[in-house]
Amino acid sequence: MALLSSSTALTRYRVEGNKETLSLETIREKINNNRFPEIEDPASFFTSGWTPFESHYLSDFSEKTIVFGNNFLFCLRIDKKTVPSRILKKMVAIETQKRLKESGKEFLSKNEKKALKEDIEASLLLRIPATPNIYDFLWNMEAEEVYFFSSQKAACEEVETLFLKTFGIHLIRIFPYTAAMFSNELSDMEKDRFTTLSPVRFSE
Amino acid sequence: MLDIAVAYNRYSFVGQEFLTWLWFISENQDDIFQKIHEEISDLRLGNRMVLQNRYGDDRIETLTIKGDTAGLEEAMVALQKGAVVTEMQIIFTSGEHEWSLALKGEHLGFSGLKTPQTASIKEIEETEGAVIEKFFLINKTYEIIDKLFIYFIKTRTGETWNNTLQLMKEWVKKSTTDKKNA
Repeated sequence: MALLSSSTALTRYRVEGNKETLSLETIREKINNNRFPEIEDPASFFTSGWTPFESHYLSDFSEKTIVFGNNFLFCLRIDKKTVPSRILKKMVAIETQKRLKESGKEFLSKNEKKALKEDIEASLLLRIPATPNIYDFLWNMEAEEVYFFSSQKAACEEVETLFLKTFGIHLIRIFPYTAAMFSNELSDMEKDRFTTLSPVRFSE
Repeated sequence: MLDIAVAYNRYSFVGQEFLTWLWFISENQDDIFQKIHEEISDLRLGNRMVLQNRYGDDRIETLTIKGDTAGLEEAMVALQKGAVVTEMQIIFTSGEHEWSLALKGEHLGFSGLKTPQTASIKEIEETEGAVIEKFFLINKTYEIIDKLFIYFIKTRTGETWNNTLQLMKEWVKKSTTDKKNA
């Protein structure tokens, strides 16, 4: 629960699209349709989906609330398998030695080495469990903003993709240009001037 | 509006200039903060700053200053050499409450955000209240950073910018001269 932890990272988005047609029930249904799968695919090295804020590992939303005050709150879960490089290296070395002994050859060709490495990696991926990562996702519908509790590039890209897939609405990241362009406190003239800015040096 | 990906790269320097300006204001004109947002009692730099200097041949030099006893003299020298502030820890207070965060210039994202402490959850029924309270404090952070950023943009696009820039250049020059003479 990054939202409630003592130290957290945050990325903010503006929600762009036709939100008026989204009722609470529609939102709940769309999230549930894109929830994290209950049954893991052992061959998949990357799985993502929504999970409830109060139960990250049981992604059934039917008994869980998604409304907290004026906000929708749920989580993005990403399960990813990675084979530690040193384990892969060890297994490749052992298997290479075994094959050379069996074949009587002195070395494996480049293609044989590549195929061997891929086979071992695929076999290890089947055996190792995926590591779950949970990122809180808070949608303030009144402000048309989303607060995503991570600043990791891969997690941000995944949440943007999954949100679009779930609701058919784009998330637009708030960064210097969009912060200026979406601001109600800047005049059109100030926004025009912003677009003509170029970097300055703070030294003589 | 420009294409988002293009605009992200094209205007990332504005966020870096914003951080440099915040540093300048915190050392020279900190009475402005209360004018920008009445709830800011104090705003100061924390113990972490990251600067970057890009050279024409795509080489990037990164300087990270951190630690409780770290001074910002080296950061000032880097600024003199043309570096930009890419990340900076700032601490601000409102009344008795304190917020601390590392603000990144490129995308205005936060890391290590610490808000004033909230009550711990003893019962599951208390979760909603805790979420609402925490979100209020997070939202307050954005409210203040947004006000500071918009004030900077008004300054940066306004007629007084050249004057501010000159003051900032003198500040950098004076700080690095003082260091040499120390």
